[in-house]
Amino acid sequence: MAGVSKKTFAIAMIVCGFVLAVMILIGPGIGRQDVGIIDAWRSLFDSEPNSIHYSIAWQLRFPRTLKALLAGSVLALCGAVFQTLFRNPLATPYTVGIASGASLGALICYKLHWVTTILGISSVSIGALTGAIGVLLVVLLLARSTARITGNTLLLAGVTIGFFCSGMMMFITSLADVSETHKTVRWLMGTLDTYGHVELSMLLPLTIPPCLLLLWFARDLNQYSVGSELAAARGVRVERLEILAIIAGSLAVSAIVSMCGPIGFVGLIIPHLVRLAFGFDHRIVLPASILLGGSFLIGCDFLTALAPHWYGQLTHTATTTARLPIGVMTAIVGTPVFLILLCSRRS
Amino acid sequence: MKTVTKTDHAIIQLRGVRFGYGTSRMFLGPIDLHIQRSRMLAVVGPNGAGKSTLLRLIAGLIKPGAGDVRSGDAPLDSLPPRERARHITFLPQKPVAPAATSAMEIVSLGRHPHRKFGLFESATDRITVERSMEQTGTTPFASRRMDTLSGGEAQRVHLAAALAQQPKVLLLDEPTAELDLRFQLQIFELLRELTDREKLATIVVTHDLNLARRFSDDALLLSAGHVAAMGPTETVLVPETLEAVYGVGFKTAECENQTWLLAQNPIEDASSTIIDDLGTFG
Repeated sequence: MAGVSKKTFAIAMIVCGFVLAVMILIGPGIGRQDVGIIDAWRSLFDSEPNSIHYSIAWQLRFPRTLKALLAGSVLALCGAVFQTLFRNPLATPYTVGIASGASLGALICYKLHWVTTILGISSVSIGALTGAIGVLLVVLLLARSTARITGNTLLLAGVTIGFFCSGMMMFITSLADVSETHKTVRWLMGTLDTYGHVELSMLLPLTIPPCLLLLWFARDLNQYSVGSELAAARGVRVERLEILAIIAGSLAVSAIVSMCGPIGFVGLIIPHLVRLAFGFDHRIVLPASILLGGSFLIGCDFLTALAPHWYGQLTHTATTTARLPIGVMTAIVGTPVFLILLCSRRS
Repeated sequence: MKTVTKTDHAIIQLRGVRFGYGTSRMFLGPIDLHIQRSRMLAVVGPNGAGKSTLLRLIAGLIKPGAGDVRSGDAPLDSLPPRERARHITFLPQKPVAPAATSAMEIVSLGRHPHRKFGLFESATDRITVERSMEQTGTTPFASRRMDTLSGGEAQRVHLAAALAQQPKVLLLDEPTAELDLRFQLQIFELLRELTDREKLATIVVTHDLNLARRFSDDALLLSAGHVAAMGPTETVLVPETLEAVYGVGFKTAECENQTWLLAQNPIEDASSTIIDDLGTFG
């Protein structure tokens, strides 16, 4: 509603912002080592610069939290945009094959041991980007022959090419030796492992500008969701919107994939959840997806550390396992949430 | 006598407009058309005659292959899209509403061409939205979800959204296609009223010849992409011209000071004339 959307916006931002703030605040205090929230924050203001608490909380956990925040928010934002662009609730950068292309590109870089930085950007990101753009080009060329850029044809083409990329990734993995295979498989499950802020600073230039562009498109996307023809009649440059939004989304997602591996579910669930709670207006859906997507992935990351610990306590065994892969956690948490969402939507 | 062919004060002008859809055989034009304010033009003709295409050309959604469409003094394609949208509004045949949107949200979307830098609707936007909803009688269900409205109610909401755009030209593609009789009449009465009161130039594509005859000032009869007849409704929508275009026999009946068109049986040799037409214009 004209008057209410401002109020809904405020409520949405406050609620989602609060959730995220809590996640970030407790972030340095949650992990496998026995450093609690109070220890973590105290260590930040301690005079001793390199205490063990400080290292764990602020050099290991905090960058990890920020990485989860960045990955979660980018994936959720792009998911929300792609669902609107493809007019399909299942469309995410993963389902349309772009993330698979990015994964394949990144994997090839790892396989060829081409891990370096070029102009401050990691070579793996460049590989991922190349993969994503490769998929995008094939999909767009295919779509060209059917006249429209978005829609079911593009979605099907994307899904098919996604399968191809997965096949190629299996091929590459099967060529690797045991230790390499282990590393590859771990990466494919998604990882937020990081140390310090170098990786993050490499991710920011590739993700922030595309995300700002997508946010800027919020009003155009509102128009787009009532039909491309009506949107065009109201002065939206529809083709420009479609192309720029898909490219921006691909760019941001491939940067994330290159650093974190393919992390699924965030881009699917979060936008649905946000739409269910706050309606269709992209001026609310997009920023709320960013805030909640970040919170969700941070939360899942907490669980990757805590779950093995809890399991150990329950079974009275010493837990030797490392963190669970983040992809496992997003699936375990995401599936029931999504199914409940689906059922509640019916009624 | 006012006719569509009068050139002065035309708000939209089409001169020698032609259009072809790429490789397909469909070809439209040449069409010359002058559209004035406070007049309602009904575009009629058989399926595939090019009615919707003509509407899209006037809306600026597609560019003519030859000739030009002008809005006032300016060629339509020289206008930035949003400025164009402040003059001309187009309501497609089947507008969609995303799940869980309220009627008022849909109407507010019509303000897009007038948007400023701010993130939210301005006071002017809100006033215009409320006024558009009053004009279309949609205020009572402003906060209802679109998927709970009947076809006629939803169509009036979409019409309100079109009005919120504050256009001078209102283009509608079969606005009554899926409505029952009562809503068909309601919509056309509303269009007539808006055309007169808001001094709109209204162009409506319809299959209902009697509604067209009853409510619109002028009619444009399209046949296989060319203009079969154009002028005041009572001169265009007559059995002689309609029979040739539709291949159906027509009779008229007088009732309540109104001439009604009654479609009879298909004319036997109709198919051959249609094929001839396609041969010429395809």
